[in-house]
Amino acid sequence: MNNLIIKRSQIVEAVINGTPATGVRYYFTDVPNLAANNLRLYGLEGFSTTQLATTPTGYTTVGTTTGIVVTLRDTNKVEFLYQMPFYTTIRANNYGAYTILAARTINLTDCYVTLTNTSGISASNSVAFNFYYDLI
Amino acid sequence: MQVSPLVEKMMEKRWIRPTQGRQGEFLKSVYLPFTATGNYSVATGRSIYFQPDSSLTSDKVIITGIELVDFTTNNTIDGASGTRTNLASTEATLGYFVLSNSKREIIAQIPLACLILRLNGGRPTFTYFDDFSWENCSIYFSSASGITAANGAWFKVFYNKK
Repeated sequence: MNNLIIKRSQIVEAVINGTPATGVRYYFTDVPNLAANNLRLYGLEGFSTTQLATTPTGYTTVGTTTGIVVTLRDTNKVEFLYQMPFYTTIRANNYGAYTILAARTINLTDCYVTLTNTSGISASNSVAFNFYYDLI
Repeated sequence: MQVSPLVEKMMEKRWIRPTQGRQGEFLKSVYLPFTATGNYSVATGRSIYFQPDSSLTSDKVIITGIELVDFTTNNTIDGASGTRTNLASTEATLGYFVLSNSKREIIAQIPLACLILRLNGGRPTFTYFDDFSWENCSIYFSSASGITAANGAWFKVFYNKK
């Protein structure tokens, strides 16, 4: 079995703006670093409060790991990762295995999280990830 | 054993590697003993930089793995600055490890708790950092609550010579 090698990483987040609601798309906050055309995302890792209390921008991470799903879209607007449970992306929940992807160039501001259940999630919580990428 | 073309490509790009492999040829323990004042003092949002290290320069080595030793793994560190209590995993959730290159470009930013081996099923954090400047690398805490001059951070840095 293989595991991911970190070559470059960037912490990204989708902030739950307003009262948490199911079915709403909470888009990722733009990070110019990830906008390069020669960038290939090949893995990710989710963080709840057990891994990270506060994101670099000052938001509190979500305390719950269930009821959240993540969708990633590439530059062709293809949803290549559709509604993946946030729980699954947390490395500690998978005996240390990272989520590894076939490498893609993503459009971060088109990527989003949705809630399937709002319990345990508060307004201004952050659903945070580390995106692992390489420049080619 | 046949390897899929996708896995083969990802291994060739050094994006993945077998989990059972060792992290690196060499291991160096690096300590950051916190202090009440000065460069190693802990405050919210303040970067604490590593000292230059002649064996950790990117013209000579590639950093292939990093691990944070927490309180449960080994309770104290004993260095030239005296004994310090290692960070507890809950304190590690407040901090980040930041790897930068000589242009001070941030290459990677990893929450400290993610570098604790025992919390991740014993699977090490593999890295491939071949462009870095160790003295530009740092840790910082988004909240310094509960972290004092009695604490310290102990990193195990695995590397291969170029």
